[in-house]
Amino acid sequence: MSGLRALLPRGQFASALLHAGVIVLAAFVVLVLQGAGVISVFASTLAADCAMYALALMGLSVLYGWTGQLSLGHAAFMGIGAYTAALIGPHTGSLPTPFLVDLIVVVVVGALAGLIVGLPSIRISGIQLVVVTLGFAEVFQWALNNFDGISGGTQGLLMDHTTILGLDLSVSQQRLLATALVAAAGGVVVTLFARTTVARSMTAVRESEQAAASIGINPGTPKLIAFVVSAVFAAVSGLLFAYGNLIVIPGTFALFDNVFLLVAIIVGGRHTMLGVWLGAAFLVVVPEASREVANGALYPVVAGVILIVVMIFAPRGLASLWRRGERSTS
Amino acid sequence: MVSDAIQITVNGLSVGLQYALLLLGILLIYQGSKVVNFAQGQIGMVGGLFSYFCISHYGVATPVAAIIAVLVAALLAAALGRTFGATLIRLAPSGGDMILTLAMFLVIDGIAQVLVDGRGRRYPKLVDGSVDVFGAYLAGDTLLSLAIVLILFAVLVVVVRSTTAGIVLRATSEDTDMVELHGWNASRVRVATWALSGALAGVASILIAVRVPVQPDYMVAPLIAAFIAGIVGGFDRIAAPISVAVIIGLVQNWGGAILGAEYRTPLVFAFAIVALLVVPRRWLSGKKEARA
Repeated sequence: MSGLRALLPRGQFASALLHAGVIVLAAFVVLVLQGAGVISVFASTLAADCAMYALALMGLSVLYGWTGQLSLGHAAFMGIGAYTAALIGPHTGSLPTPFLVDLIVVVVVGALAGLIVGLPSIRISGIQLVVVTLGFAEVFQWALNNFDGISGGTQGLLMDHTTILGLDLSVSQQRLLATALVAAAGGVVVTLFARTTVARSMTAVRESEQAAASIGINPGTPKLIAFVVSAVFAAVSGLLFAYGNLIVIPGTFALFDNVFLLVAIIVGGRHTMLGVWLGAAFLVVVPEASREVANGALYPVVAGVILIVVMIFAPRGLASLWRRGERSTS
Repeated sequence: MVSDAIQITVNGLSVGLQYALLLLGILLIYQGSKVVNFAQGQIGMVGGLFSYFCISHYGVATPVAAIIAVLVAALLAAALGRTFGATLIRLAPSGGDMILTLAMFLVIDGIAQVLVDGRGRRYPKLVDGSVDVFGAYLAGDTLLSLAIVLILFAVLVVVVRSTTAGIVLRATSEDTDMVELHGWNASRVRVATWALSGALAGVASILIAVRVPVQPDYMVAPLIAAFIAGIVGGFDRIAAPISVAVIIGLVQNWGGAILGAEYRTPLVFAFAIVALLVVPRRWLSGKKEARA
């Protein structure tokens, strides 16, 4: 293994490109296997879901893995992205590049939402922050159900268009390719971002706010930036959800979805990109397997048991079992 | 209009005290071992649902079923404290305690969802009838709930302040080694704390069950209210968070009466945000700062 690794290019750009390459290659492998009839079409749907969740979990990795801020509102940020895309869809559909415009608007809206929800993080942390983010998620859920003139209530909203870079996300295989490309791009951003001064100050704040402050870091700034970054990743993941799912309803971004996203990043491993992908796989495989064995109601039990086992035997996530000495993104 | 005001205030007090009771169990465990217990509501829920089926399937008398609920919740909490207590304390400095209790929440909730469908069930009233005060209609259960919580608080204050058991309980949170040196088994004290906390959750679950449809998630909203009171009042104190819990009950009921019942959920969070902005920084002794 080490001999092989010596052949690989080094440095942040190389590892970012390597990551992107692996993701796109994996997407192609799934498509080829499916074309050859080895796996079913459903497999590409699951793989696309996996890439979509990975994008959201990259944000949570920055927020929790890098700065140590626990959030129970990540699915709500996804919801903000999905609903923004569905709301502006009818207006952007007639433009020459609807996806690009949607993406820019969703990033801006996601960043603003992250900024507003993250503001209390300057003053509070730990359990207080968990409850505040949970509060944001619950109020978002409440607003979706009560302002049905805008959100469509429990009926939800239909997505106007579904094409990204010429790929139609209503078709399973094309959705996989498009989602993998966006997730790979997200991975490149995170990997490059990990080597910046801001990212280093995030880890410094996680280890000790007092120590970080003593070397001239204002602890509030990296914490707030982490919130904005994580919200943007979640929002773009939500945008992909809206494109691929064709309809957005409040139930997709409810209390338990917030919990499961947090569970996934912890089970996968919050400090590495491998952990992000393991977490994303967890979010796709565990509910599906639970449904196969019994009914969907078993999902929380299985997820909870896995989480308990991981917390006791590998508190840094499953990724930490794999090559313990591996350099982490944080 | 006086009658309406009395009714809204008394109902709000009653609800707020139920949150306070649930919160008290969370505070007991937190102050004993710095562990944040997200499973508190679901521990109570198990007792509540169990006693519901005792009544509906086996015809157990309601007061007996209520006592069974308290025992079941206490036993479950003791078992959890016995099994995970040491791990939780080990994980607490990194915030892992919250994750592990969240996992317990998921497992307990999931098992309940598998065994019982999500349909809301009506728990029988504890007492029939109502009292008329200046034209205000006060349900018997509301007043009973008020009385039970206040009596429990009074008893607990006396027990924790003046009995040997209470002193050992407080000592364990201060200095575990010293407690062991005096011949007490600290881990047994911990399990006892969990059992007491579970019993409180069981009582809260019955008092809440008589006013909302009973299903696996019926303790989630009270749990969130209790946690909001906890973060605003501070997990290291008792009187402040308990008072905040009561205030939340009042805010919910008055806000619901003025703005409409659908505004109860956002009102609680609006209250939390305003309170966190207004409350002085030194009050907000978050876990991180307290430990650093």
